Amino acid sequence: MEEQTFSAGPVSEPNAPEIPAEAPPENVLVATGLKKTFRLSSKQRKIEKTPLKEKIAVNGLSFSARKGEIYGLLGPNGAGKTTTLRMLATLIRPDEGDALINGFSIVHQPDKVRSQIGFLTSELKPDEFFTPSYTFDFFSELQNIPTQVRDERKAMLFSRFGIDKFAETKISDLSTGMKQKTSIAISLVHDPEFVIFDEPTNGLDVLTAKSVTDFLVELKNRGKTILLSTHIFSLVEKICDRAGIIIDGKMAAEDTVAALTKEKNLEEVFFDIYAAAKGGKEI
Amino acid sequence: MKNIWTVMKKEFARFFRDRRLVLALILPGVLIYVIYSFLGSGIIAGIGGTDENYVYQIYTVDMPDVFKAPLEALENVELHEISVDEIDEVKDRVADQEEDLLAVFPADFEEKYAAAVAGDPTAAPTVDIYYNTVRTEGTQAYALFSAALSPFQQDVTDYFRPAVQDLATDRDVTGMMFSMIAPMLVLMFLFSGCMAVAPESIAGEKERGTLATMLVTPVKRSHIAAGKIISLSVLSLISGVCSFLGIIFSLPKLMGVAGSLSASVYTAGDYLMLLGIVLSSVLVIVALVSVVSAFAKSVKEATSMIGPLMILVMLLGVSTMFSSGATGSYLWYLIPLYNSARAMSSIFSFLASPVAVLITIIVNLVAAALLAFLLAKMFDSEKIMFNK
Ligand SMILES: Nc1ncnc2c1ncn2[C@@H]1O[C@H](COP(=O)(O)OP(=O)(O)OP(=O)(O)O)[C@@H](O)[C@H]1O
Ligand SMILES: [Mg+2]
Repeated sequence: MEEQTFSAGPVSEPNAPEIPAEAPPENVLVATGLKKTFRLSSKQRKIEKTPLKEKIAVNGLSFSARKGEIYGLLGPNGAGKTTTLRMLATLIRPDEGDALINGFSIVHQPDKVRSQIGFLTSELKPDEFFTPSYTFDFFSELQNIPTQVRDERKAMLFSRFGIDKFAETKISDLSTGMKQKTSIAISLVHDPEFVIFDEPTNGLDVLTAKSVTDFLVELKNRGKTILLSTHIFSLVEKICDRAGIIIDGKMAAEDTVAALTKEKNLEEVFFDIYAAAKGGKEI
Repeated sequence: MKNIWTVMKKEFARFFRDRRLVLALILPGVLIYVIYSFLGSGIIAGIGGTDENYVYQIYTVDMPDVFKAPLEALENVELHEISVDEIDEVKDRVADQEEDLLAVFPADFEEKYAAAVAGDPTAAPTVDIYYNTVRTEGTQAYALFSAALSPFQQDVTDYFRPAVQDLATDRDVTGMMFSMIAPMLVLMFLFSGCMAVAPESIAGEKERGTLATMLVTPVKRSHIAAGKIISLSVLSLISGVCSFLGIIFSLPKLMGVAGSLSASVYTAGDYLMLLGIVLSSVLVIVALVSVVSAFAKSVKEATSMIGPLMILVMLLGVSTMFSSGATGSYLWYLIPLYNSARAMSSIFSFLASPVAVLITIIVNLVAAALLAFLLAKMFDSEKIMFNK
């Protein structure tokens, strides 16, 4: 498995035939050969301590997520997780490759994709001047949600996260955890089939983190598909059905979490894969 | 369409619920009112026409009788011969617009004049003439004075030098120019109103990652851009109107005499044209500032980038003072914002051409639409929205 992924090199072909073979379980997301290169400004080059003018953040990434599962993208800092998720959320365009979400192409039908997904990442922040309630209504209106549906959904999500007590408090006055929960609620105003969450538990205490992960499992049980990125192994072991390990923008391993952790725990598996990936590169 | 309205509503809520921003919106107007009112009354007294029976008061020092004769023949001129000691006092009164004109001949005028005629050009005597251009009577007195001396001109001009001095002060000149700088003031108010809202709404939201939350919804980028530009235009206009009211209300105090500058001299048609120009200009200004704000990485950067733009727009406004104003080719009206300044100046000076105004409005609307389109494209560009 690892061998095969490495020999794939820059070309993303080998993974592609695998997908039709696994076709029977319905794929909500099929990403093929995603590649993203950033041009580095001289300032960024200094920060990253590299003479290179370009940084390949994502390098021919292919993977797929099946309907009703939680898929975890696992990788160290700078591996390209956020970049991948931003491409899927149509905020940035891949240089190469494409991904289909519910059959819609992120490159050619970004408008359609946007109505299918709920996206959460730390870079997107609702206007802190408004209250959670106002913000929920605003995004519901942009998503064309009927008022009645909106109110029911708002009541449900707000009570689920305990935002109801703070519904009329300015977001700027909320705690970090409450802000994060508000962001989650707002990303779900249109009850999307496919949910993309970038490090959803980052910066949260264990209690708040647990309420978020419990909620993700709840979503899954309601038939939603969830793609999340994280560098926390235990989170993947706990809630993910399948996981892809990204190192330097490439898929180093991809399998069910059960298969990945058959012999060792995920952390040890990761170190092995990491050593192989880095070692393989230097030799 | 519905989404444009949704974006606009949020934009209004953002500003009207925030006391700080509402203040920023109306403060310039209040400040203008307070400052101008405090500047006191009577800065500019009596701009206006002269009455037909007016008798011009001309003061002279050592003026030869030959020169006096033609002036004495005029019914509406009264000559006062004064002594050298009184010169300073009369000069002050001319400066204060209490007297019309003072002509000071040197005591040895006749000898020097004779020497000059005899062929010594360095001997030519100097005659000092003082009047105040802001005082209409002063200007007219000078015209009468020169006309009366004109028969002598051929013989005389080569042999003495009139040193004409305009005693108008800076303050007087400001008052006189008020009507000329109105186009610039309007553009400036609209611009500063826009400055109070657009960088915050575009660069600020981009900086904080709020704009991006809208970019992951299915709303069209063009609708976001349109919603922003329209709502920001309304807000800028409100701010501009506040500034404008500040001027209008402080005007009577500023002018000393209420009614010397009456707004009723313009017709309803003039006001309609002005409204069209102002509305189309505010769209262009807001769209322009929005585009620049979208380029900027932060509100701070946006503000510093817009500074030069503001100066440019003000220069456009000022430029009408020195150009021929209303006259000239329609081609000038194809330049957005400059056309607004030109068209407004033509309206203020009663020379408005409806065709020119129509061209102005259409050109501005097209320019605003193009800029809105550019803004939508920028919202779609990851380089602009997400560069770090
Ligand atoms: N706009 C950008 N310009 C230049 N380089 C970028 C840009 N965005 C990301 N990168 C670089 O691309 C690489 C991947 O970044 P990315 O944010 O996707 O990593 P990540 O896996 O999410 O890491 P983390 O766990 O730290 O969030 C990093 O080296 C980062 O510096
Ligand atoms: Mg990240």
